[in-house]
Amino acid sequence: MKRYLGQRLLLTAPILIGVSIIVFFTVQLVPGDPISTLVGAHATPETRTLMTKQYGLDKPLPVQYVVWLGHALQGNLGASISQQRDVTGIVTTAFSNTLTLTAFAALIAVVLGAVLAMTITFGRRRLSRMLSSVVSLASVSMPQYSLGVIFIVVFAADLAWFPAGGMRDVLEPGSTTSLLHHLVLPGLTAAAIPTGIIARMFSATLAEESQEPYVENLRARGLSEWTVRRHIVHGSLASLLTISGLQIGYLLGGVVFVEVVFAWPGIGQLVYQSISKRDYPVIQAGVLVSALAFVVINLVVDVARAVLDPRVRASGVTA
Amino acid sequence: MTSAAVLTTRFRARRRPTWALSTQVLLALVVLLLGTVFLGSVIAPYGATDGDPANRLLGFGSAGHLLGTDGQGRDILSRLILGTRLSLLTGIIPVLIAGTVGSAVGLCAGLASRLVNTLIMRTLDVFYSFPSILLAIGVAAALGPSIKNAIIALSIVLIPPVARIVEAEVVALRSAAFMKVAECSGASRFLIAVRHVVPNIRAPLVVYCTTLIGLSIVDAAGLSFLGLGASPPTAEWGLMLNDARNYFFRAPAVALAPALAILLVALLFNALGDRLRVELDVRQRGATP
Repeated sequence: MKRYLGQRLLLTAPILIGVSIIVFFTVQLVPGDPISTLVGAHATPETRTLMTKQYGLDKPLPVQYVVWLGHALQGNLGASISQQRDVTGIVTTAFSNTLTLTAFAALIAVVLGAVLAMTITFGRRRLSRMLSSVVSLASVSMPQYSLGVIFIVVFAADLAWFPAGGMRDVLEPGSTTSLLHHLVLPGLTAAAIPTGIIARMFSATLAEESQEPYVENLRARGLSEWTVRRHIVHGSLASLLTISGLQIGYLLGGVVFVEVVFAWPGIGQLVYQSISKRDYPVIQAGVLVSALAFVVINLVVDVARAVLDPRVRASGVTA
Repeated sequence: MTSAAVLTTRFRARRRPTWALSTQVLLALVVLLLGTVFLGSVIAPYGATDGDPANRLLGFGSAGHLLGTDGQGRDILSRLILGTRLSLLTGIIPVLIAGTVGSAVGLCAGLASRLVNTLIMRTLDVFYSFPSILLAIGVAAALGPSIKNAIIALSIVLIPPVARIVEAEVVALRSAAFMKVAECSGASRFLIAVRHVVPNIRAPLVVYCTTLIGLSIVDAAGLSFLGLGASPPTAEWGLMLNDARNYFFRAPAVALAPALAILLVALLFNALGDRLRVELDVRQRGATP
């Protein structure tokens, strides 16, 4: 187990470095010179040189990258241009809200996806065929923003069952019921695609596991169908974890649109607002934090899978 | 039996098996969409920016405006038809670019030495280590909001998955007997790639790219929705959707039209990809959903 953990961590390091390089150089694509923006058009050449030196922009790009990375590792992601606050504070608040939404959506996706998969594999033929076509329809690259808008039009504007946006009521800011009430529509929207994919992939795993020799053995020993199914599900749990883990990671990406549609104050909404204000440090930090979360979730899932499934531990890390 | 009948049977036998009806219907729908791209300005009853302030936010089925009007009194049906061009092109162009570049990268990686292969594939893994739409947002935001930049951003984002698919196909082909024969008879790597590898990976590539078009349309409209693509008053579905958010409660129909358009077109390309997979008998290697 220790060896596996070590290998897996070693594999994460280059990926993290790669992600940080991509994020850093993406911002270098920004046209125009940041110093001109800072000092204005009428600055003297002396001021320009001074400012360039002060911000470290006279150094070569690789050096700038190392400096930026050093600061980022210490939790310093620079200052927001539009909000005169440090980016770390802004991003931390937004990220915790994103995590709330993602966790809720992930819960829906995993539970609903697993239940759907079991119904498809073990259910009556007609029901399972109908469900599997619905699921394969939902698991495609559906536009979350379209789905969100349809949900708002139907359940918020027309039926008025749920609020159309926001995270909390102004009147009762600390209330959990109000938070849950606000979570339903964005949660379902974000969960739609992952639910479909989890259901599709997990039902394939269940079907495969049902073909294993031990299942035949269990049946031959006269165990009830329910007990046999329990064994099949138990044997497939590790792959449910892998499938779900990957989808939870993708949730972090797709949630950007959900947050914008439902005005959820998370990373996506923050990035969206920063785009129109050209607040590049915030955009950079938002993308970096989401990407890091994705890498960390993948790491956690792989380790959890190794804990659950001795076969994974034995075969070692496969890149 | 007349000789003509014999001729037709022989002709039939030589022809490729015809595609299933559902595939043909889907293909016809795509052709129809492409027709809208070229003939949009002829079909559309109004111009994209012809506003009529007296008739704002009309509902579905109003006289003269089948799908109603938006917040500035512009005809939604016309804007939807005229918007097809941008929405479809921003979906297809990135896939064409990424398909070409990604295939080249995948071919190189698949046919190169182990070291080069590892270098290329591990670099691609980094792109895989976070959600592609985040990278697209980052790149598009950095380049500045415009349709051209949204296309560039999406092209960059779609290269790694294409390269990965092609590499997996090429690696699987490497052990085939005809590849060994070609190698032994002294064919150059380039010749092997062009004459033996490319024809064999064409089918999976076409299938995968068709599904990618759906994704690309969704992401492109998404970028416009976020303000990173087309800018007002252009008729573009993502932009129309964002604009409609102001009228959720007064005129929900305004939002439904573009939302459904994007949804249905994405479904269309995904369904077509699925059908082509069946028709061309492709098993996907190394693909992630």
